[in-house]
Amino acid sequence: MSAGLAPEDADLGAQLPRGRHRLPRVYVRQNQEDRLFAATIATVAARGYDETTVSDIVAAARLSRRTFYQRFANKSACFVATHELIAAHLGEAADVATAETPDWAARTAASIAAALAAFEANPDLARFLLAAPLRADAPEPADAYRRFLACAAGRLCETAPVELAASPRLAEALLAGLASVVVDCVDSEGAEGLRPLAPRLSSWFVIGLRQIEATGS
Amino acid sequence: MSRPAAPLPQALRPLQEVGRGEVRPQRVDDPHRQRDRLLRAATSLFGERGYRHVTTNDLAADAGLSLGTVYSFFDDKRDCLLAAYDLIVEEARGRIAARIPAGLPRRPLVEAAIAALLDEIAADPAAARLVFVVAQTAGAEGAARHRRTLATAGAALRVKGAADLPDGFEDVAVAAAAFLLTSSLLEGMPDTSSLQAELRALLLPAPTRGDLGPGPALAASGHQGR
Repeated sequence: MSAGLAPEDADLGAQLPRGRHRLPRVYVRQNQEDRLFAATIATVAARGYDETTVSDIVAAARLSRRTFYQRFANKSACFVATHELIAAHLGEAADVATAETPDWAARTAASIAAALAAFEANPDLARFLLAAPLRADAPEPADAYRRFLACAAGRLCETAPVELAASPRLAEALLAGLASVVVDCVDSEGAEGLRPLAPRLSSWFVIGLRQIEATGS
Repeated sequence: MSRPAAPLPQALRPLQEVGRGEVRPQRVDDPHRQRDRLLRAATSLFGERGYRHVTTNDLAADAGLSLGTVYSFFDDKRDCLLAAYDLIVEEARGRIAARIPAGLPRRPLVEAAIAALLDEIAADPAAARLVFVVAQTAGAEGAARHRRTLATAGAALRVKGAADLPDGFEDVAVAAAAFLLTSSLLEGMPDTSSLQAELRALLLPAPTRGDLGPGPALAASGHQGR
């Protein structure tokens, strides 16, 4: 994992020494990028998209506005890139978790558990990925969220038994329903409540798909 | 263009005329009706433009009231939006409940509720957008309203309990249905008949599952609930 998704990265400790140092340029750039993403996640998770400004992000990352604008055209581009980074990480984590699991239901359970493990390590990832887009009064975050749902639903249904090949729209809605339970859990119980949720989430997804299929949609 | 002379305000008339003659407009336009007008303005403006692009000035202008009057009813535009949300949900709930005959079993009851909800949405798309799209974007309180509405719907579905659904699935199904409505409203005027089929698929337990028994995938998952 190259970019920083761990919460500690937003801490001041991650900032490089001031003034002259012998750190290689590529390392400095990577460190700046990590801090930019981690600060975006932490700030948006805490304040929401609408209330977050580029100034907030660069202040949290301890970077200059110039560094921000070298990387992103504006706040929404930064949000979308960060959203895609988290989504890609969850995809990779699911690949690793399912590498040796041929059974579809077990793969679904392992993918969902892998996502929950990431959210447990940093609950702001769940807030950013699943809660912030619907609470944003702007189209870009909502679009990024729908792309994520479509991609995740596609992955989960890809190898599903033929009789469970539900309409993609309904599979996405079902995932959004699961996401809403995850967000409620993070909001009310915090990260500790997530792990016990894993078996129920995957069972709900499987049962939801069966239900959709059986109703004939 | 010649206009009739503006009538003197009450305070500037001869003392003996004050409070006589025509009724003061403020008394015709009683506070209840003003508040009602404001909530209707809020419903159409927020529903059409979203939260950020409406100001209290817009609300005042649309309702034909002064900004001061707006602030006499509401602390700010969020307060006004939340009041409009509560009114829409309360009225819609009443109308939907009135359309559902008492004592229906679960399946026809949920079907009737879905049909009634979709009629509500078709009758006032701006109000539907306020409830399903805009409220969530209006800060923590708006998001909390949305969550509460979903929780109420999930509980209603649970009361009508289907024993063949796992514990907690109702909340997932309701949140999934709400997401479908949100997406459809964002995309424009939803196609009611396909939405109806989708909502049924999410909210109604599959009728044939008992006959078929659990399929291989479900059996393998090992989490059928109870």
